[in-house]
Amino acid sequence: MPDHDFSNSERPKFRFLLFIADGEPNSVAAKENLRSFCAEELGVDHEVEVVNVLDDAQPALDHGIVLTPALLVVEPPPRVIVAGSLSDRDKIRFALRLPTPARAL
Amino acid sequence: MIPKQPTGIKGLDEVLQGGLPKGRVTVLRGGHGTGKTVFALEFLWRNALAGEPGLFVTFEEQASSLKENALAMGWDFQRLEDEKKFAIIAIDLTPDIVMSGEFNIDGAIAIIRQKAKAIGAGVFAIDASDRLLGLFHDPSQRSRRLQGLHMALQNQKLTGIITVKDDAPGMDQFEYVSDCVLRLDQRVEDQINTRRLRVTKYRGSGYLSNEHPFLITSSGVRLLPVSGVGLSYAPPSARASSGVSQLDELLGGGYFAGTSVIIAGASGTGKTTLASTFSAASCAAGERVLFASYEESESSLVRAMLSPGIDLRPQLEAGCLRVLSRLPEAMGPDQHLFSIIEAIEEFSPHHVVVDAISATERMGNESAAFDFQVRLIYHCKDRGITCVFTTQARQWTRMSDMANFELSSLAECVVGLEQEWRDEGFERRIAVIKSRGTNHANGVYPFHITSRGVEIESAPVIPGHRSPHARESEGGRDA
Repeated sequence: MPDHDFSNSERPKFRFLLFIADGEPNSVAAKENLRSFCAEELGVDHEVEVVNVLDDAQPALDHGIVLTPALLVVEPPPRVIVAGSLSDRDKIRFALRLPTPARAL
Repeated sequence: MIPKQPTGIKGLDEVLQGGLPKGRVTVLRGGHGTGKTVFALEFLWRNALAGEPGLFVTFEEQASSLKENALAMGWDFQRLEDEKKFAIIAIDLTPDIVMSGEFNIDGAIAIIRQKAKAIGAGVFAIDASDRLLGLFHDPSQRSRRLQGLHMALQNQKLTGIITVKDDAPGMDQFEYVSDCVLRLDQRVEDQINTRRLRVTKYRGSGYLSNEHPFLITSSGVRLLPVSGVGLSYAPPSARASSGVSQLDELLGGGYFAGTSVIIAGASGTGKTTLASTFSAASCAAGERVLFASYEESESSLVRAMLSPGIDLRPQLEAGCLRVLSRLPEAMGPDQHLFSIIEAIEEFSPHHVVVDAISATERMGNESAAFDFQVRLIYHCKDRGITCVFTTQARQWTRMSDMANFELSSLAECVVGLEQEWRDEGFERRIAVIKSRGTNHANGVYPFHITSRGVEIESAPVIPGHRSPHARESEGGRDA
């Protein structure tokens, strides 16, 4: 029963940092695309922290993120960056090494 | 005149007539290994020393190796960083990036902006920006991002350089939006490596056009501006003795200080002796002489001059004479030029002797040699330094042909030496072939090199000889 309980040793399987430039169209799209992707494909087993580089660029610098929006996959390893508005779900699955669902014809 | 930010790089501010456009972005283009990074680093180093903090952004190198390389030039960026006068942002673009949909570089811009603000930077440099923009595969996207980056930087009111690889696709766009574009280039001609800088655009400002040679030395970039030669030199007035009183008489009082004198003659006619005589006499008069020897070493020059009774040793010891001995083949003409100009700047001599200027052809090709000669002459002329150049004429060249070479048109004075075989041995002759603005003799006079130096006979062998520059020697007071 791994529900919304991230309390102690039970960490979510997928942890993301989403770097955005708040208000910029691609960033707005990325937030929305990630939200729906997670909801539809990852269920509850994930955690997203949104970082607005316009407020503080230091985390972006620390992680070597120069493109926005950019999704940093913290868990599971290895560390991967998915840059862009996240409109292409196949690329996100590829980054997370998730199988690509068979498409209906 | 638009406001400018000096770069502090030797020679570059002269070319840019003050520096880079203040509050604007300058594009520095060049192929691999042309020196873009060194230019960018030196710009920040010199500005930091002048009290203007700077930010360096690279998408290519690691901060540690960059600082290490800079330290080899004597630029201690770590110290500047500790003093909060410098910050470096090194971004590694190599980790796995998966692209999904459209993106832009707001992250990079935000990082740059915040870092610049944190140290109060007034200047910046972004190195290898093509690496960043290369992430955009679509050309129209790339040029949009480029313009976005340019605009964002411009809005910061910072003065900066963005370096771009020459062959990076889509970078031509950059030139349209930028106010100032510099191009670096490196080529090998006649096995000589030459580096050149050219300003291809400078909105709102004049600049020295042409390609300006530069070197990357152990202390940074050294640029030698090829100036549009201003012919506004004050007419010479003071005379400098040639060291031979009879020759001074033939010249109408000696060489003009601050002008160019050429002593032409075949091998063994006494050119070096005459040039050394001048050096010794100038030193005795309390003036400094830089003697650039492209024919022999200092010690062999000193030894050779002892026989005609010229002892250069006390003058070398007194420090009024300095010998710069260089093998012409050792380096290219640019490096030779830098080396002699550096010596001139350091020693600030009254006179520069080059023995022999004709040896400069061995530095490269004929045109490079001529370039060397012309630029040395103008460098000296600008500073009121007399140039005395010896030049080797072909064996048995007659007086009448002695001024028949390119450089003589730039010299105010040409003294010719010749020799001819007679039953009793060689007979040496001397003539003032031209001496602009003087009432010089135009006869040909026998002379001897004795243990007391050069001695010219008072009776000419050819009294009525007219030089090829008859117009100038009109009214010459012949004996």
